[in-house]
Order: sequence, then C-alpha cells, then structure tokens
Amino acid sequence: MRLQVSLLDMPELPMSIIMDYCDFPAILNLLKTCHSFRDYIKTHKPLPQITQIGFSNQRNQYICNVSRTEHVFVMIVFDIWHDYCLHPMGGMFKMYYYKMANGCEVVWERSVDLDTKEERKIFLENEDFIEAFSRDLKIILEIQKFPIKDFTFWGGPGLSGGFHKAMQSNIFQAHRISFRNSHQHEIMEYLQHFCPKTLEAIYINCHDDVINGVKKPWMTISEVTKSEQWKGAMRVGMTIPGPYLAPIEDFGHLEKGYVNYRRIGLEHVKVMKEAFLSSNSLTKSFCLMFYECPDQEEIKRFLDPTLQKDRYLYRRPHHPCQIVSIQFMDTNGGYKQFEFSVMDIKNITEPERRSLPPIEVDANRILRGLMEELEDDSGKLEEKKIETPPSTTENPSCLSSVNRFFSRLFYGKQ
Amino acid sequence: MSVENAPVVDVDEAAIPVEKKMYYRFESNDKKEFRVSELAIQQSETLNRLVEAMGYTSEDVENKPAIAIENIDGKTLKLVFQWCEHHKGEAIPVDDGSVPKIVEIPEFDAKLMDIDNGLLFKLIWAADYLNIVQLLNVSCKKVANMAQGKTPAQLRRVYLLPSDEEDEAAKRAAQEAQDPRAREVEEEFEERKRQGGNSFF
Repeated sequence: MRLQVSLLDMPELPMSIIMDYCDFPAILNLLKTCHSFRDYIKTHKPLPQITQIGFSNQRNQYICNVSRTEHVFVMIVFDIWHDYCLHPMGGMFKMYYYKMANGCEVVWERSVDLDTKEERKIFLENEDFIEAFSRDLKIILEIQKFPIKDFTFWGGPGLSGGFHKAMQSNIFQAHRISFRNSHQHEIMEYLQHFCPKTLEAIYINCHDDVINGVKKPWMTISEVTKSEQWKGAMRVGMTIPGPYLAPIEDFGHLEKGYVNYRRIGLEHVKVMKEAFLSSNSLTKSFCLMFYECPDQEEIKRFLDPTLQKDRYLYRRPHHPCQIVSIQFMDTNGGYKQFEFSVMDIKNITEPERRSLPPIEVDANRILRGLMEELEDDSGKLEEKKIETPPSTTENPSCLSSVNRFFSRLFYGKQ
Repeated sequence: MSVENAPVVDVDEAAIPVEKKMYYRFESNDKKEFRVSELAIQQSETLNRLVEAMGYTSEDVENKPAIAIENIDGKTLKLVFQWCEHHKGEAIPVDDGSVPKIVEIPEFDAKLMDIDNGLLFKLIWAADYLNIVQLLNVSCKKVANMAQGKTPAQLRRVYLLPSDEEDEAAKRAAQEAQDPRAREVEEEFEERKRQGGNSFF
C-alpha cells in the first residue's frame, strides 16, 4: 500500500525515534534507497559509532564458523555502552556474504551467546557477493565518524579489490590496524588507504600454520617499514617469525613494540640499546623475540662482561636518573626474548644501583642537554627536581661537573 | 457539526477526584467534535497546558465553542483520543537517559495502529504535534518494525521513498524551478562541449 507522504517528510523528532528503533540491517538497506536518505543519515548519524570493523574471506574457526568456501565475513563492533538497552543483543554484529549459483545470500547475525542469536537473511538475485560486500562497506564507512578505533583484516586473496572499490580514493582514519594471516603485498594494498597522522598502532599477527592454503612463509615486512604509516605509528606488534622481517633500525622509533625474528645477532641488541639510551621517553618498551641466536654468548658479554646477570641496567647519558633495562628471558616455549624498558632510578635495588656501569658520555654533553631543557622550562625552575646520581662507580670527572652545576643552579653555592 | 462518540469514557469514580470529572470538547480541522476526559488530556502535554491556560469551568466547557485543533483531521484525532482514554492515568515516560528505551507495543495499541500507512504517519505527526510521548514511541516503533527484512526496493514501496534517479530528477526540477535560467545555461554548456570548445567562457 502506498503512502500519501514519504518517510522523508516526517518531522525531525519522530524521524529520529524511528531511526533509533531501526536495526542495523534495516538502516543499511534504507541507505541504499535514495540520496535524500543517505544525506539524512550523514547529517544525523543515528547509528552508534563503530569502534571496530574487520573482514575476511578465509575459513577460520577463531573468527567465524563458515561452512561455505566462497564468502566474505564482516564483523562490526558498535560503541553501545551508553545505549545498551537499545541493543540487547550486544554490540557485535556479523555479516556474511555467500556466493550462490544465481546471486548472493547476505546473512546478518547478532548474538550474545550460542543460545541467544538473532539472524536475518536476504537473497540478492544476480548480485556478486564481493560487489555486495563492497557496496555495503562503502555505505557503512560513508556514515561513520572518524577516526575508527580499530580496523582488522584477516586476509584472504581477492578481498583487497572489494576494499579498494569501497574506499575509492578516500583516506581512512583509524587509530589501530591489525593484519592477521596477511602477506606483505596485501598489507601494503590496505595500508595505502590509511592516514599516517591518525594511525597510532600497527599489529601484524599470524596464528595459523597455513595461510590461504600455503604453508606459513617466513615473512618480510621490509616494504611496510618504509611506508609513512609505519613511520608515524608509535606502537607496533608482530608475531610473524621471519629470518628477515625488516632492518632492526626500523623499530627504533617505536614507543612500544614487540617483534618476533627467526634469528637475531649482536647488531639487533646493539641498535635497540642505543635507541633506548638516546630516547627521552619514559614509557618506551620493546620486546625482541627470537628463535635462534648464534651470537648469544657474544651478546651477553656485550651487555655484561662479567656474565653474571640476566638483567642489564644502564643510565641514560643525558638523563642519569632514567635507567634502561634489558632483560633476557628464556620462555621455554620455543623462543627467547630480550625485553627493553625504561625505569626511574628509584625503582631499582641498591645493589643494582651500585653496580651501574659508568655513563658513557662526557660531562659537556650532559650539561648541554640540561641547559637546553632548563632554557625551555625556565619558568618552572621552582618545581623542577633533579636527582644527582650516586657517585660510587661513575666517571668522577663527569659527575663532579654535574654536581657543581646542580649546586650552583638550585642552591646558589659556588 | 457532528459529534463523535468514539472516545467511550470509563471513569473510575473512586480514583478520580470530583473536580477531574470534566470533559473537554475538541474540534478537528474537518469539523468533527470529540469529548475527552481531563485525565486523558494529561497524556498530551500540549493539550494539558492549553486547557490549564484556558481555565474553563464545567459550564464554560458546555457553553463555549469546542477547542479547535486545526492541524489534525477527524479520523486521526479519533485515534489519538481513543489512545489517550485507554492510557489515561498512566505515567508519562521521561527521557532522562536512565530509563530503558525498549518499547513493547501493547495489544490495544497494536490493534489501534492496524491501519494503513498513510493514517499511521498522520498519527505520528499528531502525537508529535500534541506531544504525547508514549503514543509517539509506540507509533514510531511500529514504523521502524515495518523495515525489518525488507530489500531496498521493498522499502521504497513501503515508505514511498524515491529511487536515486527519481531523487536526482526531483532535485534538478527544484533547482530549475528556483532558477529558470539554470537549464538554459546547462544546455548551452552541453552544446559548446559537443562543438569541441574547451572553455565555456
């Protein structure tokens, strides 16, 4: 039965209430009806914000239990904590696009647990399943507020084409991207669509032994680390073991990271140690995991010539109160790791403090650094407290200069 | 002027104070008259304020002309007052963010709203205009439920939405109506393009 008036003629308040009561598949289909409706949704955005979106065309028991081989799976998580009563079936929404002989079947599913599931199906005649996925994704992204918190690709050949079509030339803003079971070329295809300025973290993980029917390769990400997105990200994690992931220097800028090399040498530890000593960050941490290390004894000797410890502590040359910790751990799980972190000198034990190696720079460098900092913060001198380092094992000439400087500065002593 | 008997008033003598037993008279834009109890009127914030401001006595209600509601026709107003009489005395939901927004459509409301979509839309307009919160909620919920499981083509039919092409054509027509010269300019531009001109100017 036709109406005399369109839904679009509805006053603002009723329209907003109607949209509140429409579920996600209904809004998705309403968006496909006409320009005017898309404009309305874009202006008023009745959908809750998406915090996480991910898709895949792999069969993977960890993600979804899909029996049919040719499909695209999309998972969306809405930010509904403030409006939970409107979404009693939970914030997670799953969509499946199945290839059929004469079209495509789309299944929307929302479930709190295995017993409570809400499912809707729709058959699209003569529609290609990748096309249908691409069109829906485009619509979903068009009405979202950016940046989105988390974007995940579970990999799978042929899917990036659908993503390109949805994205067109648009640049996507997300805080975090995760790639699972993806090859470098797939990662690069997706990464180009993401804004380097908003991207904070990149995670590349590989859980399955077989990717796309091929045994898991020892991956490289040397192209990925050249991208602007990588250089802008402050947190990176990857569990892909590889003989040559990327040069270790490419990880030095990270605020937080973990990486799994197939094999490491002395150079890996040297580079990361220098990156930690020269950084200003108090929260920097990095976990260098590996399976093989022919230079293990050489590394230990480099870190501690006495070969008595598994935890090595160093003062930062330009911040003597900040300690860089390097800890060796054998997890007995097939891999070992060096864990790099930063801590305040107050948080180490007295014996550890006494055994700190001498600072490896001259006093002039320390003074220059301090003077620069003090010039920057000249208005805050009263609040600034800088501890003098203990004087047991340090280079005496260096520390006496520092102490004299502090005394003059804070106490007016000559 | 005809008097509609539709709102059958069931007054609970014990529960309602004597001064609340007044029935107001309202008139729709097609001159149909309704008698509505004061308690039922409280469901509508707009009407409640109106009668309070008027300060009618029982004699005034009978002797003065019916209160005209000019934006709503008799068919719609009959549904509105039927709903108000049925739900009179019920608490009016307040949207303070803490009250769950889950709305169940009661059996009476479902039957009342078993009407064609055009009338349902008018009922929503009336509920919005008269500020009847719960009627607005249930009627909007009913309209939202109509979208479930429908394809875009079915949704266009149900909600009378245009297709993309119709939408664009309507926008063009509206633009042209605003500026008759626009069409001529566009045709001129197309003609120059056909002739191979690189620049319009």
